[in-house]
Amino acid sequence: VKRLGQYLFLCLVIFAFTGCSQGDYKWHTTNISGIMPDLAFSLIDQNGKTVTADTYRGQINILFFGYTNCPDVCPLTLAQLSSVLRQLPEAERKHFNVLFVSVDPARDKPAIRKAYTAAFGPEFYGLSGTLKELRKLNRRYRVTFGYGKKDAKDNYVVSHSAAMYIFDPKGRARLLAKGTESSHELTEDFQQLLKISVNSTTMD
Amino acid sequence: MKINTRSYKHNMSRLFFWLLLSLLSQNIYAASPVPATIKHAWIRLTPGNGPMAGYFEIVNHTDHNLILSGANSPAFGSIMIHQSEIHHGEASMHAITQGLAISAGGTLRFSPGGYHLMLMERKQSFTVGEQITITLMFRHHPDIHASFELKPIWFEEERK
Repeated sequence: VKRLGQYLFLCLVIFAFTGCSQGDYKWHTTNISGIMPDLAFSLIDQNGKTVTADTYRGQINILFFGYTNCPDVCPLTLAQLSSVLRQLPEAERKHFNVLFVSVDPARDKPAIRKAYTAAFGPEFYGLSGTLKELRKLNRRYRVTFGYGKKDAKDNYVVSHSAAMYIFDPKGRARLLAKGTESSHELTEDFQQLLKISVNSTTMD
Repeated sequence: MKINTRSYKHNMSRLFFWLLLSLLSQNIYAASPVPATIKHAWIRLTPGNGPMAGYFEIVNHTDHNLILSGANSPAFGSIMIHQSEIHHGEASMHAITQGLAISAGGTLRFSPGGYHLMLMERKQSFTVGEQITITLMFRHHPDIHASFELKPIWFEEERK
């Protein structure tokens, strides 16, 4: 009887995990609905203007932390996002934003972020802010960033989260991409999330 | 006669020189005159003055480990071999300072998210489509001059 109880409990746990919201949908990325908090921040955009999560509400926002002196991993992720968005029909693409948040505000001034993000497409925004705000936002999504030792020419490496956090138009955290997904997998997930978002009753 | 003596001495010193060189370079020319070939070499062009990354594929034609020890180019003040890492979801990179081995007959790929040439201190302006020569240096082997094509920032290599 104890065995049976354990078995039933296990079934219940499995059901609880698989049967929650978006349960009918299959994702390549990780479903973080109800696990990660809503999008919230106060940062400076690529034009030097103060912006908050509300500024970008109504769109599907893809949040990514990085820095512009990052020649390898950051452009790799942003290039993939750019090509994924470029291949979506215009009617779908217009619902997406990419929020590139630089965790290197000392070097990444607004004009530099603007030139950097503009190179990927009009959907890309280059945000940054005070170290305090950046730490707060990183903590909110359970990640960190850090600076390596400066070399003789004051160059330094920045470590940062490799993940992409995807929020629905209401600002709710939905998906987490590790950065290892194929473009095809990201496309499928983005389109599915958009479909759910349009029919917003299924999202509540 | 004087001339003959001089030419004899000259020939002897030349012979000595070649003997010495052949001793020193025994390993170099034993297997193949071209130790390696470079393929698919490109640079991701980023705006501003920050470092850029160079990628390529290197095929070792020798029957022993080939050590890539560094690189240089008049187009950059400094070039380092770097490796990106994602550890517990956090991306970082570090310099490879002790050289990088390509196994006998093997191929090593420098590709986004992994090994890359960290191209620092731009000495000129760059445009997409332009070819830049970068010299790759090897331990105990002659340099290889490779031509790298500048690709747009959004360029995506086919993932393998």
